Amino acid sequence: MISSVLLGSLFAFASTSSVPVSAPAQDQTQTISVDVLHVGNGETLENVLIQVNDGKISAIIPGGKIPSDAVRVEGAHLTPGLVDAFSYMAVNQTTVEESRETTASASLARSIRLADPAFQIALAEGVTTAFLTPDSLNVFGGMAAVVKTAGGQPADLFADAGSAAQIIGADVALKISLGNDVSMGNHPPFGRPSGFYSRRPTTRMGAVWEVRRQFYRAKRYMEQRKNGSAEVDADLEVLAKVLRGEMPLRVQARRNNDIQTVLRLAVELGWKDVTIEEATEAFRCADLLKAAGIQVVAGPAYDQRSRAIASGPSLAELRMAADPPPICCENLHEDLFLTNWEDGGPVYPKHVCETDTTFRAGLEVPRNQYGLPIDPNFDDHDDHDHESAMGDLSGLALDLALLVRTPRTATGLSSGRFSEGDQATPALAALLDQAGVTTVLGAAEAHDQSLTESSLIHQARRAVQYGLAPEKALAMVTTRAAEFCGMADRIGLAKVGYDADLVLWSGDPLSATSRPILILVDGQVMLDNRN
Amino acid sequence: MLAATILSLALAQATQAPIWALQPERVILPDGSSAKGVTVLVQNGQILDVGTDLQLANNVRKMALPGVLAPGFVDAFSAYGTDHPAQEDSRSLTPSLRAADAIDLRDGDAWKNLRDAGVTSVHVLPSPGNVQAGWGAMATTGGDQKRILNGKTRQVLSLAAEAVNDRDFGPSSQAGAVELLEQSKPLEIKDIQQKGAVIHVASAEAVRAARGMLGKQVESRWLLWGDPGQYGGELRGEIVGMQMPADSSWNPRQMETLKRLHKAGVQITFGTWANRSARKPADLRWAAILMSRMTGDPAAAMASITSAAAKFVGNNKVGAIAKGRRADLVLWSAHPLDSTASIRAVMIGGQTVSRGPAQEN
Repeated sequence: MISSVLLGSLFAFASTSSVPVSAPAQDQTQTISVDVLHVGNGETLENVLIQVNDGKISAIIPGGKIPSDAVRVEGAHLTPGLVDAFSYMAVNQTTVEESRETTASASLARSIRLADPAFQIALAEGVTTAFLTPDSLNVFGGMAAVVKTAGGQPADLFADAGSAAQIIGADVALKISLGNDVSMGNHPPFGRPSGFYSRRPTTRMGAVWEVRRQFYRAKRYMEQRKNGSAEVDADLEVLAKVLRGEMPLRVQARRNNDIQTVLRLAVELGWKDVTIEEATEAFRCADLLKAAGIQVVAGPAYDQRSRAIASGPSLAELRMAADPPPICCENLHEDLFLTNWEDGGPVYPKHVCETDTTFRAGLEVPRNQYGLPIDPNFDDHDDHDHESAMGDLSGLALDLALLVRTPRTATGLSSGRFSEGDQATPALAALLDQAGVTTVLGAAEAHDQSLTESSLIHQARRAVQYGLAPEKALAMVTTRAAEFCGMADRIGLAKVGYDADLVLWSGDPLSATSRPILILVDGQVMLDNRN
Repeated sequence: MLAATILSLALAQATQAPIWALQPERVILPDGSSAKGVTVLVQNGQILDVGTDLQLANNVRKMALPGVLAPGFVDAFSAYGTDHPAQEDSRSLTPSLRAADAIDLRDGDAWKNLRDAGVTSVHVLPSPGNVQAGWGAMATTGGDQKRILNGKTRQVLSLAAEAVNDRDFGPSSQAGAVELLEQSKPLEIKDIQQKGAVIHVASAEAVRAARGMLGKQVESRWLLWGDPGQYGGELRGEIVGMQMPADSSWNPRQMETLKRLHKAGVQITFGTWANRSARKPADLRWAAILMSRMTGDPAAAMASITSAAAKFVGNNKVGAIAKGRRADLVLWSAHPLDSTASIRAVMIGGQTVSRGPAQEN
C-alpha cells in the first residue's frame, strides 16, 4: 500500500508530503528495539537495541533497557538492507548500445535513470542496495554500477525528497555476455548491410570470438601503450584494467557449455576476478567452478511463464504426452499436422469421426493448457472398430506429435532466457553451496515490475525451500552479496560503523508471511508500513 | 610628420561621432530590474555609459524617450536565418560544422518578424541530430553593420536520445550516444575549452554523463528536451535553454515546471528553436511574461530573454543596457512584461531600424 503511494507520488502533479520520509537532525540518535536481529553473517542476536546516528549504526546493545522513544514492533525481526548482487533495475534499451559488439567503456553510472520506479518497488521489498549490471544485448556491455535504491536527491522536480536511487559505486565491474542474448536479431549482411543488426555475433562461437579478439587486442594495446605507440582507446583501457586485475569481470553464462567456456577463457586470457552471472545450469559443473575458484551470482528461477523460464510442462504432462488417446479415422493426417504455431503448438481439433454418423459428434476431449487430453484413457470410440494397423500408425503419430511438440513446450520461445533457462531449478543455490562454490542470489528483472513473488527475498525463501540453510540464504542477499558488490566494508551487515540500511520485518524474513514494515536507508526512514 | 597629422585628424573625426543621451521614462537594468531617471549614452553603436547622475558634455545630444527602454531580446537558441535545418545527416560527429555558414542574411520576413517582436540578436544552432553537431553562430536581426557577431559561439553536443538515435546504424540509445561522445574525445575538439558547449539533454543521466566527460573545463549550457520537470533538479545553478510551447499552449504541468525550475535555482532562458517547429519570435516575450507570473520574479523573467540569454550564448556584448555593450535597444510603451506594451522603436547597433505606429498626442 505504502509502496503504491510512493510510486503514485512520483508521478503526482502536485506532490504532497504523503511519503513518510523523516529528516532527523544529524546529531539525533534513533533507537530501534527488536526481538531478533539477523546480523547478516549467519549470526542472530535476541532482544537488541540498535542505535542509528548520522546515517550509520552507532551502537548495538544486547538486552538493554528499552527507551521510551525507541521504535519497537512486537515480534519483528531486523536485517541489514537486502543487497541484490545481480539486478537489471532501470537497465533497458536506453542504457545499452546495440549497434556494436563492444561498448566496454559504456558506464551504467552515466546512463541509469535514478528516478526509475523499479527502485521504489525493490525498496518496498527490502532491497536497499543493488548491483546494476549492463544489459546482455552486446558482447561487451559496459561497466556496472552499485546503487542504493533510495536516499538520492531526485532530479524530478515533482518527486519527493530522497525518492531517487543514488550511485555509491561507479564502474565497479566489466560485463561480458555469452550465449543467445548477444546475437539476438543479428544476421549476416547478405550483401549490403541493412542496419546494425547486420553484425557479429550471430552464434555462440561468434560471441566468444569477439571476447578473444578484444582481449588479445587489449594485450597488444597494453604493450603499445608502454612504448608509446598507441593512442588512448577508452574500450581497451577498460579491458586492460581487467587484465591487470584492477577491475572485476562479470560474465553472463546460463548454459553449462557457456559456463565451461568462461572457465577456459579465464585460464587462456588470465582473468583474475571473475563472477558468473545468472549461471542457470551451474549445478551441472559445480565441481569445475569450485576447482577454478570462480564465484556465481545465481539468477532467479521465475514463477511466471510470461517473464521467465521455469514453467515447462510437468512430468505428469510429459507422461500424458507420451500416452495420448487413440487416434483414428481416415483423416488422420489432417488431424496430426494441424499446427497453429502462433499459439504455441499443435492444435488438437475437435474430433468428428465421419465414418460413424451415430458417433457422439462434437463431444470434446477435456484438455489441459498444453492442449493435451487430461484423461489418457478417455475414449469416446467404444462403438467404433479400429483396424489393427491403426494401432501401429498411432504409435508413429505419437512420435510425430512429440517430435513437433517437445522443443516448444520445453522452452517456450526460441531465444534468450526462454531457451537457455529451460534447465533452471530453484535448488541452484543449494546445489552450488553444497559443492563449495561461493554463491549469492540475484533478482535480475524481478523488481522492474511490481511482481513481488519474484523479488529478492522471495528468491531466498525459494532457495531455503529447496535445501539451502536459512542463515546462508540470508547471507546470500546481505553480507555475501555486499562482498560481490565490493562494498563489504559498509553495507550488508548489522554492525557498528556500517551504513544504517535496515529492514524491519513483521516476522522471520524467510517466512512467506513476513513483509517489510520499516525501512531505513542511511538512517533515514524511507518506508514506514507499521500501521 | 604628415602621416601623423592625418592619423590624429582621423582619430579626432572618429571621436566626433555624435553622442546621444537617451533619457527614457524607465530603463531595464542588466539584472532585469528597472529604474527611473537613468540616462543611456550611446555613440558609434555602443553604449558609452549608463547612470542616473552622468555629467553630460555640451555636445551631447539629449533625447527624451516616451516609454521603457529595454535591451533588445536575445533569442538564445534559434534556427531563424537558416532555410534548411543546419545539419549534416551523413555522420554523427561533425564538430567543425558551423551554423554561420547556413545563415541567409537577405532581409526577409523572418528577420522583420524578429525585429517586430523586439528581438535584436539570435543564436543560431546547428540541428542537434548529431552527437557533435558543430558550432553555433550569433547574428543581429537587422542593421547595416556586420550582421554575424560571432561565427563560432559554442559547440553543440547532443545526448538526447530522441535526437541522435538511429535504429538503422546507431547509436541506438542514449548510452550509445554517451559512449560515442566519450570515444570522440570531446575535450579535444578545437576551441571547445575556450568557447564552451551547448548540450542537448532530455534526462538527468545525460546531464551527469556530460558533466562527467566535460567537467569544469568546458563552460556548459543545457538545452532541455522532453519534460524538464522530470530531470530539472539535476541542473541546479546552471543556465539552461527551455523550449517553450507555442504562445498560449502552455499546460499546467509546463507552467509548474517553470516555477519549480526557477525555485531549484536553475537560470532559465528561452529561444525560438523547438523540436519540430520554430516558435514565433513574439512567443519569447510571452514566455517571459508567463515566467514572471509563475515565479513572481520579474527580474529573472526579464533576464531570461536578455542578459541570461546572452550568458547562454557566451556573448557579453548583447542582452543588457550597460557600459560597453552594443546599442541594441527597444523602446516599449510600457514595461515589456506588461502584456499590453507595444514597441515604439527598435535600434540595432545604434541604428534605428524600425519604428512602431505613430503615437497619440
